[in-house]
Amino acid sequence: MKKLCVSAVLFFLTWCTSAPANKTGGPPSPPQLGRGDFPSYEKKVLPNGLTVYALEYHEQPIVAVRLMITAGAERDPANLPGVAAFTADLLNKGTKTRSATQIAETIDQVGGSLEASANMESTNISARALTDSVGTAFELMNDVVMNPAFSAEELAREKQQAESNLVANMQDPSFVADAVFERMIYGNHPYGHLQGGTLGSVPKIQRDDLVKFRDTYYAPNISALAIVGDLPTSESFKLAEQWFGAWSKKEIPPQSESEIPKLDGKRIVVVDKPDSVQTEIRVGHTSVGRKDRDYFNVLVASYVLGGSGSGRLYQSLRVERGLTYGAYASIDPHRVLSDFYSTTDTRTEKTTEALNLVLEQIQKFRSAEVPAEELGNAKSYIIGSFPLSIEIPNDLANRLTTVFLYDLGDDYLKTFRDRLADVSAADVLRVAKERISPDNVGVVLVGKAGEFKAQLDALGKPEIIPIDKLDLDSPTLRK
Amino acid sequence: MRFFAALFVFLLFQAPVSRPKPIEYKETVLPNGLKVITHEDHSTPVTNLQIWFHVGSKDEKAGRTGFAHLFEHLMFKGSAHIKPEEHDKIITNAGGVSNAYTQDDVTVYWETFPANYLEKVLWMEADRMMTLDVSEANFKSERDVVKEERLTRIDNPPYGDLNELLYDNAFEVHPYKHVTIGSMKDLDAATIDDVREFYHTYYVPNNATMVIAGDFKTDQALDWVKKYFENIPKGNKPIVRPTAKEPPQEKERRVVHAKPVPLPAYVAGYHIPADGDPDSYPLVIASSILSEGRSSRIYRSLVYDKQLAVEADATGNFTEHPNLFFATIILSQGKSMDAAEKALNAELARLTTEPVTDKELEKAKNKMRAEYAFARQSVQDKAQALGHAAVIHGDTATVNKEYELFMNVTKEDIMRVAKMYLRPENRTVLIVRAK
Repeated sequence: MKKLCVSAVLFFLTWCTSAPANKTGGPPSPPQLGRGDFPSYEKKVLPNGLTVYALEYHEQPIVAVRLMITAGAERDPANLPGVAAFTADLLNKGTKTRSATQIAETIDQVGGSLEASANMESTNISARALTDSVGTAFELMNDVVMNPAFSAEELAREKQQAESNLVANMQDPSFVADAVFERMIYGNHPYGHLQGGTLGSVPKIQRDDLVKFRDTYYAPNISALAIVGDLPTSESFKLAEQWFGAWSKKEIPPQSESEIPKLDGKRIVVVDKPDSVQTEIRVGHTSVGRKDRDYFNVLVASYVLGGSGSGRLYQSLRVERGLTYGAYASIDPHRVLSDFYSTTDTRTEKTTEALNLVLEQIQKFRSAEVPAEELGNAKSYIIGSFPLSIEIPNDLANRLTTVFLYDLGDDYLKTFRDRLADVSAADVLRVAKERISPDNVGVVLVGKAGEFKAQLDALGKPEIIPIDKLDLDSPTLRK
Repeated sequence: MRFFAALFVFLLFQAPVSRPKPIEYKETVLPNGLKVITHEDHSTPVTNLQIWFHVGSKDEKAGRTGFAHLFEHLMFKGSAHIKPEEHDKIITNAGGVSNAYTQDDVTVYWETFPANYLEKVLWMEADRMMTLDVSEANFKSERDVVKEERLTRIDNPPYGDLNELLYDNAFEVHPYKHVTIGSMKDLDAATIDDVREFYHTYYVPNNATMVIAGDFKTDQALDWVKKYFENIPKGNKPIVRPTAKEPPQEKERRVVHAKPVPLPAYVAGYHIPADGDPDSYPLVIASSILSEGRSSRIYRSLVYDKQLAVEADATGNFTEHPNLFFATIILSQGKSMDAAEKALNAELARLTTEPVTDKELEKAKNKMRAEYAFARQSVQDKAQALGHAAVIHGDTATVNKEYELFMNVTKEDIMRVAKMYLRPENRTVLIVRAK
């Protein structure tokens, strides 16, 4: 017993003063790695214009199918956010020949899943199944896309659920911060709206709105079908033709481009939630769209500023000061514009300190070139992480439909890493100056306003909105 | 009816029933007690490495709740050859992902990275297993981060503290009574001396299991593991496992809690046996029949037909020691909690009075069959499954053997376990009312 104590004490001592050497010396250098290319696939355009991707994957007896229709919430009627989302949500809630319950029973019975949802720029119907039941998945997917019933009863049910969820979400500080931020930077443009609808719009959505959305936009000529799984390519193409070959082409109306406001100076909105112990913080503005030639430059910039635990925001706010559990910056791209934003949260009394640090880091980022090592690390992260994102069928299907959505070109998945590698420190500094700003920004703080509002005056006059007076449908954000 | 006939015909022409492929692995134990499990998967040039330390929040001593998790954070604060925060940087700069998590029973450190980094990651992991070196200043600033994490996850979100309240009431003596994040008071009380003691007791090779899954050759990987880990000494402090046994619950406990939540909530916790207990398999299948998918019983009744709940769920939390089976409701706007509670309890009671149908049982097993294929695709998923089997079950072979146990569950098994565990006297109910 005594001996054990002595040796333990000695060991502590060693450990405190100079740690025992890892006898093997310095770190081994990783050898060169193959590129980890995207697996080969085939693409075919059916006579009705439907683009079909088939990719074979044989690790497990499974198939992932994703049908993307490139029309989403940005096609919502003016002042009626939520139509695209409800149209998608209702697809698997009943067709001309199957009730919602029958659809659920049928896909659950074979251990599969069939989901439909809309985001800003697309509507996605995804199925997954064991290979032995892929036929069932296709049959149901065809039925819900071709013959949705949009029954009044199901719509009422969805609306009630959506309203309950919204009531809950409108008390969730993180959700509120995101929603207010989007409205601030995009104004009344559909990009700024809640995709699932608001407490104001949901009650107004009618069956006819859904039927019209479906009849106008659900068309093969703006859609892609990706089939990834344990099936021969020929079989995948056969299934695509069998179930979606007879879908009729449509003339799609042009996108109406509504105006997006330019932020001039800082607009600070504080949503007052008096029972908060933490403040949610968002800072940012719009930036380049997905196909802009500067997209990769801004992407690298966002990564350096706050793309990971190595980013400047995380290092400054979490590692150096212990102010937060996380601090990040990112770019969330759309076709025309992106959100470029920083996000963090901190205990109430540190709100101003954390916000100032975020602004300071953005300012610093624009004032000097990113050192070569830091830039190299950022690029090697984005490039090196590619193989991690193409491991499983669902991710592979996702990659393929994203290429289709933004029309990135058939060679994109092969070449984008070379384009990223070309981003220089000068490119990043240029976009930091032209496209990133600490001055013309939207700032959202959701927390206990009384504790920090007085300290904000140095930054600009905050608009303070009590959380129960918040109205996402109003231009002033107030009821 | 017409449809089901059609489906039947369709199935006749189908390929044979798809069976998920088992995970093949090799298990090696070094002389210092480190267990190493390897699985080769060459489909993508990516590897996942996990080190499971068999210590979690249930091993914490009195007055130090939250310590296992706080310690997890400190493992990123530097060792002999790696500066604070450098661990993550090396991984992310290579394009990889690195993180860790702490649960009741285990603390797991993991990285997914381009396959050429395996030797370097092993070197890094050996460095922090052997020579962790945390300064007083870094300890204090990281403790602030953990306190922020508690605010972010527990104290600020509307329903964040439900678990904490439920466990505090459901358990009397077993350390599952406190949740992993711990209390602010205990976090403040922790010292750097606690860090040293904890490290030398639990972070030793004989209390660790390493899993490597991905694009490597097993012989090469094991050579590297030996090179970097063999010289780490076996721990010389006794590891005392918690032995407290929760007394059987004789009577329902009810707690009503008022707080500013947007929608009222109901959570009931029923005491159930540990992960891997023979009764755990029918309980998992019962949970699937109750609440997995839109055709499940609870979804159909509470969410779809009666529209009483936004969410309703029944699922077991299976851990190393006996834990709880949860039945939860988030009420729909303006609905009655009594009605929702009755509807939920009616579904649980139905399992005890009438057998589930053949079709429901087949559906639950098909879901499990799909789960075994879909939830075991990535190298991380596979390493996770192997680590769980090795550490929580103490038998790596269960990673593949449990499949048959699920497939063999009968209707009688389900009724028996429902009667045994899903009884009102065996539950603690927490009702959260809007303030």
